[in-house]
Amino acid sequence: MFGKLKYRIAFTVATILALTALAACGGDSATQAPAATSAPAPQATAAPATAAPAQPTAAAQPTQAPAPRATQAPAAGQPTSPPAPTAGAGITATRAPVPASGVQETDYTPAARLLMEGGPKALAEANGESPRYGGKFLANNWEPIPFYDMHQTSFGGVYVITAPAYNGLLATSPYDELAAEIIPDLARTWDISDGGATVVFHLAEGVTWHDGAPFSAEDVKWTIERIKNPPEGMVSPRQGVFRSTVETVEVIDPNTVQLKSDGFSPLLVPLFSNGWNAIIPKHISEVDPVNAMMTQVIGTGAFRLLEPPTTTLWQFERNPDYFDENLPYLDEIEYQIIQDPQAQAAALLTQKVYFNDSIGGINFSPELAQSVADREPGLVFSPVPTITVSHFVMNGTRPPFDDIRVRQAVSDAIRRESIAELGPQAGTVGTGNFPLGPWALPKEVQESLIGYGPDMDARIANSKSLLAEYESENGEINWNNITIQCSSNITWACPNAEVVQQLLKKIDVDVDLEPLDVTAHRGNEVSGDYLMSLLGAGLDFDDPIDTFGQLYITDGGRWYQRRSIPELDELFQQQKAERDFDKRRELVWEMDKIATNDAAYLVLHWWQFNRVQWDFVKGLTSTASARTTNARMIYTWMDLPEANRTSR
Amino acid sequence: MKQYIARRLLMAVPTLIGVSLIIFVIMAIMPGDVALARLGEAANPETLQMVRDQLGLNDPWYQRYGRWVKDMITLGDLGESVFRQGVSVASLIEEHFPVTLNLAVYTMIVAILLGVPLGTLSAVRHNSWIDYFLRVFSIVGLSVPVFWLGIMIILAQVTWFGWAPAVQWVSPFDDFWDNMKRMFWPAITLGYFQVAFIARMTRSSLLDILYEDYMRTARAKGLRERTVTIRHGLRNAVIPVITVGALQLIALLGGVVVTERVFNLPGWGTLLVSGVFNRDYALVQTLVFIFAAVVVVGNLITDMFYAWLDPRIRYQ
Repeated sequence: MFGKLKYRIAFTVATILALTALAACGGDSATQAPAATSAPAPQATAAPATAAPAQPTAAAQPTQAPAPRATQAPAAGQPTSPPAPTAGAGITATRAPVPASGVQETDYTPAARLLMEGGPKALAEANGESPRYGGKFLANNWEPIPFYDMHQTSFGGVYVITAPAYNGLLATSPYDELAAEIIPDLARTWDISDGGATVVFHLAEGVTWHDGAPFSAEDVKWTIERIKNPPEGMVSPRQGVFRSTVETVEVIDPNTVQLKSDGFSPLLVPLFSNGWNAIIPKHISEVDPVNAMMTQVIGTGAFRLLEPPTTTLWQFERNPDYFDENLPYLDEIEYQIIQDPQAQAAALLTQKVYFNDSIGGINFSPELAQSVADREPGLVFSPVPTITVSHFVMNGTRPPFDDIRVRQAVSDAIRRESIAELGPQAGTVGTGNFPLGPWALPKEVQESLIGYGPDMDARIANSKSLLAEYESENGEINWNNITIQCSSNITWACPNAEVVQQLLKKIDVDVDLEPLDVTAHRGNEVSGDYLMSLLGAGLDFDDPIDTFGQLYITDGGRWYQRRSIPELDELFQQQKAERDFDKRRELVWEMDKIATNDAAYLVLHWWQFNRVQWDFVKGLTSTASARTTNARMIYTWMDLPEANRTSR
Repeated sequence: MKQYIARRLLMAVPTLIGVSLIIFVIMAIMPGDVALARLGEAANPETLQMVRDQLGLNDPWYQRYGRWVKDMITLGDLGESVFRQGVSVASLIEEHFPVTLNLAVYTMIVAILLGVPLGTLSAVRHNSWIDYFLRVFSIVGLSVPVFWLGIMIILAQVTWFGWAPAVQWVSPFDDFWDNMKRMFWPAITLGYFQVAFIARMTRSSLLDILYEDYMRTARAKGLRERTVTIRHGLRNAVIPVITVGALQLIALLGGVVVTERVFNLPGWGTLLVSGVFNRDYALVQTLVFIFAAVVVVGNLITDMFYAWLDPRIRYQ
């Protein structure tokens, strides 16, 4: 019997070994030998021969971001007084006084002028950099990619990974933390006329799509009209802002396109410097307007796909036919999709990737980012303030929150600084305007508003008094029937709600949390099926048309509180038409005061992303906008000996 | 035997139908939907509704179930992923399968190459310090969660050696050495539990056998202790180990999900987790159904192996 058994056991072992062989039979599949392993080891601390002397060396600069060159954004948690707007930074079109009619000489930003007059190297040198050509950039993205059409989603992962293949009409300076300093892209120059209601874009000549077809103004018109008036079956999340900004698009000639707005519109030019609004090829998209771009990545961008993307790897190579012969600096980009933060951290530490992601490290907690940066002197941790808010909303249509006294009582009891101090998501305290941009409310004004006073004892006393007054008229509020809805699968949402829950106990308000899946939770915010809700909102522009238009205006895109304030709506329309920046800002501040004191939509804080990248990565500044054109990586370069070409 | 196999295969049909219904119900009652996952959190109600309509998510449940089953049966590509536009479920499963198989096989090799010898050593050195050490080693292996061990291994490598495995998986046929570098630690992570389990099984099974009458007879014949242990003891002891080991191979699927996630391996586990997060019903339902089918078929094969290895066992 044992004799037979010997062969049977041997057969079993052989079967297992055969299975081993089968494992390999799966073939090479989608994942080839990692280029990352063959990438030369960057010399993080080596002094670059061509580096500008002003650049701090890695040794002298342990883990903090280098001092910003243009507009310094204070780190999160710092005092929230706004910086004085700096010359040149910010949205030109909103600040420049525009004559009532006639063609105005365009007030180009300093970065735009540098580019127009001296090319990309002039821009880099003005920012203390001497770019080198060459090298493969190892990047990582944190989300699975469902499809490739960025115009049909607000999914950040889709934007970031497809961005290198595209251009927009305009872009923002790769050195501007606010992503507001407009520079040319496909539009090399532009003229503003009709008091800011018309803009004519003069397009670059000799531009071709990655498939060789010529680019023209028809592509621009097609793109804008497709976003604005999407064909049946197409999802266009940004059609609202396009409809309110762009009235008509007219092709003047193959290299000139004219856009008109219904009256002065401060967003008419900046709209096209937002990364989302890349230009797509008409000849491909018109074949199947809804689906064609879902599965194809063909742009005019500085990089084109080297191979069809897989679920884990996107490889780009430099576009040899790129219309600006001086760009891009990199030869290749390789995007690995790594979803787990710990795996991201390991890849970053071992230079399998060079940053935690191009828009700021959405997947990293501040603690993880700091601990990773602390391990390697060449790693730089840059806390990036962003135009994304954590909000706490009270349903203004349902009692007791239909009474302003209850809302103000709740608002005054919530110490905003506690959210960043005790919750998992760092951020900057501010009101309805981004606290680090040109529209930020002055600190002394902010401190006079409900929920922002410096004396917490006085605020608590005020809250209790307001509640007592309400309850004396309407009877006691049964807080046992009121919950704070939060998203259990959003890492910071329910922990932040716990902080609010504890803060409210100081005014004897004891409410339970109601954790929900984010999709159900957001659905409740949209439909008004909630009393108190804690979640967040991502915005595209540091401009009141976007921030207030989304958050506070009646029927705005994120008008979750359902509180209509006619006075605010009126001021909103006024500021839209106001051409003088200072006057417009006065109106905006007035709006901010009204919205904050109305206390239905509370801004808990403005997020901080936690960007970590190697110090040899240059020309790639973390920005406040999560949709910065920096994701296109046109101006990114690596300060490495391997990337040693100083010209093409 | 043939009747037994036929009966088991017939029984598998209602089992798999039941499994498919359970998977479908779980995915259907799960809050959230793929429309939001595709559009991003800033999607507005109108666009959400449009995508839901396009994907048929507003249809009655029986229509959605019928459509999924029909796609699985009639379409060679198992239908289309509802999250990834224009990509078939079959192509996703095929793309990720080699990685999971690779990990599972390496893990089993680690488990058998280490588990059986360690269990044997523990049994023959019964109540010695070696036995105590190996018992602690086994208990730790059975107790430590796979995800924790994986994270600790990665952190240790990065902290002490400044090394981490390559991000992308490479087929062993393309580059065996690179493949080993990528898969060694995941296999160790996932295999530790299996090593511990098999060592424990081998030890207890061998201890039962070492004091049987026929073992005493073999010693009385003058055979060396090593010969007695290996040729007479281990051969008998290993039968339950192999059958249980085969079942463990099936159980590996659970650990594979966690290990792939921690080590960023693009296998079925990562695909499944990603599918659940993105509410990719078609993918998750099909993948879980395949897992269930593997378990059903694996159980049957194990039973057949058991009868084949031990002729005393006969199935009615």
